[in-house]
Amino acid sequence: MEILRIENLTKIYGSGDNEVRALDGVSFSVDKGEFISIIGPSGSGKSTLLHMIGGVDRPTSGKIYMDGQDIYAQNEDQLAIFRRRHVGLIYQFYNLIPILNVVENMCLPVLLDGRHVNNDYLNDLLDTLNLRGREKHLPNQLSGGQQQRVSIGRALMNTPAVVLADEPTGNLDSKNSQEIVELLKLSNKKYNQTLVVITHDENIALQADRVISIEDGKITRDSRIRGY
Amino acid sequence: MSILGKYTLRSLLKNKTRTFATVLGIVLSVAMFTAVTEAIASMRSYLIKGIEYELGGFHALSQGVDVEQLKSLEQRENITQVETLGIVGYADIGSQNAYKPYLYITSMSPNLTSLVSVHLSSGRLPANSGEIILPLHLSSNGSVEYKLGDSFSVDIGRRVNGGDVLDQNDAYETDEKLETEITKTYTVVGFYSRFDTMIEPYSAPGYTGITAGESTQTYDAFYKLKNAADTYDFINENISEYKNTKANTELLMLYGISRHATAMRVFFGMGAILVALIMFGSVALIYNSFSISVSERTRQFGILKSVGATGKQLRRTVYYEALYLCIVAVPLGIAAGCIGIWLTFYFLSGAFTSLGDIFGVGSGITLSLAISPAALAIAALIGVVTTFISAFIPAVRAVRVPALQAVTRANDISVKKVRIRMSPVIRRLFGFEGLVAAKNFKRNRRRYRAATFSLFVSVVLFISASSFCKYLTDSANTYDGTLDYDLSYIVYDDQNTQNTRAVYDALSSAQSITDSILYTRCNGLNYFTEWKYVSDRALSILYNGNPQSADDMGDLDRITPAFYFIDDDLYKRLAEENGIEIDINDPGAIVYDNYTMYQPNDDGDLVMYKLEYLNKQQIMSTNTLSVYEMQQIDGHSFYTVKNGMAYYIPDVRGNNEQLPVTEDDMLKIDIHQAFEKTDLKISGFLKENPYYVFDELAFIYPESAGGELMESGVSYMLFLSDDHSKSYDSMTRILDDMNADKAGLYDYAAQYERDRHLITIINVFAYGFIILISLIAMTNVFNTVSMNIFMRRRELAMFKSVGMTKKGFYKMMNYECIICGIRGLAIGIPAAVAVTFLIYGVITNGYITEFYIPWYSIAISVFSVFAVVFGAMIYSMSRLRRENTMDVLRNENN
Ligand SMILES: Nc1ncnc2c1ncn2[C@@H]1O[C@H](COP(=O)(O)OP(=O)(O)OP(=O)(O)O)[C@@H](O)[C@H]1O
Ligand SMILES: [Mg+2]
Repeated sequence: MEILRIENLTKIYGSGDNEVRALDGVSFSVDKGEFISIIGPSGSGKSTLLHMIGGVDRPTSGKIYMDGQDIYAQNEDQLAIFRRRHVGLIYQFYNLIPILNVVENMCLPVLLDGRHVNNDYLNDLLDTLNLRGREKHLPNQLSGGQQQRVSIGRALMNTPAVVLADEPTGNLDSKNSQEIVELLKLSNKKYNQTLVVITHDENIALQADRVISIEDGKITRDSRIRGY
Repeated sequence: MSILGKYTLRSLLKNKTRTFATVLGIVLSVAMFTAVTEAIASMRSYLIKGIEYELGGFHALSQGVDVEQLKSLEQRENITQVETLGIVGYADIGSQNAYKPYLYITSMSPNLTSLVSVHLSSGRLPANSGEIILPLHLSSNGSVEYKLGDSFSVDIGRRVNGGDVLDQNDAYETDEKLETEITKTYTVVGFYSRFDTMIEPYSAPGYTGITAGESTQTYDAFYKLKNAADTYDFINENISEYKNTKANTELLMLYGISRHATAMRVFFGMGAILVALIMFGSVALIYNSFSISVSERTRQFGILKSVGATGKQLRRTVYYEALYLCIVAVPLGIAAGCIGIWLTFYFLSGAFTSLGDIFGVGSGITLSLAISPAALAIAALIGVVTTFISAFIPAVRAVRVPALQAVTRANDISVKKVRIRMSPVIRRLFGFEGLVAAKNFKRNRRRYRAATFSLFVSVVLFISASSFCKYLTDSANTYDGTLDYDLSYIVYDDQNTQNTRAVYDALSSAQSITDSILYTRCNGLNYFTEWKYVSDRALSILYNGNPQSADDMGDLDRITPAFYFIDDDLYKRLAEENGIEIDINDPGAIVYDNYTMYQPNDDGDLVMYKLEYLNKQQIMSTNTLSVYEMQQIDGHSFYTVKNGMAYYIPDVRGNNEQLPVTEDDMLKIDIHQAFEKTDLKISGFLKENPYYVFDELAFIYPESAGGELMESGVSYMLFLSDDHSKSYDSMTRILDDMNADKAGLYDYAAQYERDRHLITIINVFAYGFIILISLIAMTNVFNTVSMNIFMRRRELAMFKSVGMTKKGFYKMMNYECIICGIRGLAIGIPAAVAVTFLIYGVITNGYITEFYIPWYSIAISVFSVFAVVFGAMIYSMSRLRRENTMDVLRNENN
């Protein structure tokens, strides 16, 4: 079942001499529950693509449909609400709020949505993310890996349909990296979430169901590794 | 508490310095608002107390109501209290005042004094219908003398004329009759000060005597309504039943109830202007705080947005911030403002007491802090509004932060390329660090704009507030600080020189007088004189430096000296003191020359000049000044001189319609025939005017030389006294005894004291205002500068991690501070001078004083700008140095 459809997506930064075509007519579609990795050289447009899907930036042209809905037909506030309900974004730089503690950072999207935190699920996540005993800590009291796990917790907290991760392991050693990927895979299986991961790490890329290569803003290869 | 509320509270607690500065800013503003509203409220309650003291607290007075009407008044729901003066009737009491022949006997209701003030000067209030109190003017104006305890019998009745019964509102009519009905005996138990004219009009024919416990048929009813605001409506609605009804207008005016534009409105208007000024300063300060707080958290807003916070939610965090700050700061500000005003009133109470009669408030009532809930609520409201206005733009900006910027650190990457030009000297002085600072400055114009802007606002506020106060005190400061005499008596209508002497001698012997002089001054006479006697400066102003261009008068010009005739001994002393040789038999004039001249400038506006009008050298070479006097021609008045001819207008008596007369109708005479030449002997010139000589062109002569001229003059008597009020009282009595006019008696010392007190009060408020505005301005600059540095802690940590030394940091920072300070001053000072000019225009409107550039305040602001900027820099740098470099670098990765 298709959950995401990207149609002829183009993003142009700057204008005139400074014009950069970060994305150039990208089209593909993603099924529910799929685990996709995106690879490509630096500056090829991977992050740009992810931001478009996550609704944090608007494309120059082209469309993105999630569950059949054109996400960029929405205004800023609707887009914000869309993000907190349907998308979990994980960044290479963890982007935590420094004055909120671990639990608060994780619960942010749920609380912003005015919903009650599901404590069972929260405890479950804290256990899986191995953040027990760290609930009240502030981000600067955590290691890089721990901070990244908090940001994953935040992305998973509202059980989004789509989890988008931009080099989630970029700053971590291989042991930590593998742990994080296992986590994401676990959530992917458990909640039948769609998972899109950008990575430079071939090991991680090959664990996906499908690998999309991007070069110069265009898809150069789209290969299915596992049957689905 | 919602997550965003928690988030806001925590970010406030985390940034203690900024939060403190913002709270301080709000506290200062609210304190100032409170000071303004509380000062107005206290002033109002002071004036209300004054009127209640002078007149009474009643809202309206209905005169001549009968028993039925009184009952109906008492039963009305919207009337809370009625007190009465029952009208017993008129009695002939043998007053010497032909227009006030009667005693008007009234009977007070037991609680009358709770609504109407009766000021007993001696004795007590009447207790029964056999006792009476009498007004003081019965003796002073009517010359009817009774003492406490005296008893008298009178026949009491009605005043009638034709078929009409007359009352206190009808002035005495020569053909009226008093129809007496009863005879009563009263014992005098007290004396009281005359009622206000509202109760006993000037023209009332009877002195109001007050007894008690008498039942009467008609009443003057004083009453209070449940709601004072309904008074005028009540009066209008019931005008047919209560014909003679008056409102206590002065009191109601102070309650803000009036049908006319009132003084209170002016009062509130001034308050509004002050509030606007303070608001401007406060918004600048608080806005900066919020603006910093928002830009400091740009990244956090981006993150919040990327995890799904809506615009409304982000705006709300800023408003939460405003709310929390207000919750803490507003009560503190109100307390501070009240304490401030209380202290001010406390220390100024002496000055205010002496100003009582300026405001028409009797002594015994002091201006004190009146805590008015409305005033506090208004101050709090203005404070909250100010805070939210300040938060509004930053809140909107917070929403506009793109989510992407935060998550990709786009603003770290997108640095524009800039070219820096630095002079070699500066380069040598500030080195590489200076270059970095210069680059920073060029690149992050926005970041410095807040600091520059706050400097600009501060400089403008400080300089214009001080100019405002300076012009205000200047215009109030009519005396130059010394007082040469305490009392004066001027005899305007001097027919009888003999009598003037007698009055002078009597007044000189009044109580506490230590010294006195008597002299006569004649107003400027219309003379002409030759150019050679006129100073070059005067001529150049008169003729734009080119006297040849005007030939109308030949070489003659107008001169209008005032003539003074002083005691011969005084004249001799004056000459001696100034080294002027005189011959008392042919004394000549001693001249004081400080002429005031008005001359149109190029725009046609009159400009005032003060100058020496006469050519001293020329005159002193021959001791002579030739003056030419216009001949009087019967049936004509001198008009002007034109082309060497004198023009006279024929007198047109009783028929003004024939004016203006055309030139043809005028009489023209050659000026040399029209003028009569006189040589005045001039003995010498004075450098300074003696205190009895006005600042003008004055010719001083001994009395013995005064002839006809002296008789046309006005006699002035000046007195020195040990105790001016005692002397004043004693002099009034003397003048009374001599049957002389008291209008010419003036207590300068009292006036001077009042003026000095007024100036003290204005100064205290002015300096208070300046100090508070400066505090606001300083807080603002400190806040922006230190925040600017804190926000760059990551950048600074980076420099530190690559090995920039402490000295290097300070070099870099010094350079930035200097540039910032210079920029702020460069735009602030011209703007401040412009505002000062505007203020000058408004305040000195009508006065001709010179505009001056406020160098003094400029110097202070230049000094304080750098002091505060460097102070803030050093403070924040030392704070930063205590932080761990790596912590900073790492934290920012979050
Ligand atoms: N805000 C921006 N303004 C201008 N150009 C931009 C902006 N963001 C990205 N680009 C450009 O768009 C192109 C794609 O950038 P993008 O960040 O998507 O690359 P990437 O594939 O994620 O690279 P990396 O693997 O290094 O993260 C790059 O050439 C980049 O310089
Ligand atoms: Mg990238």
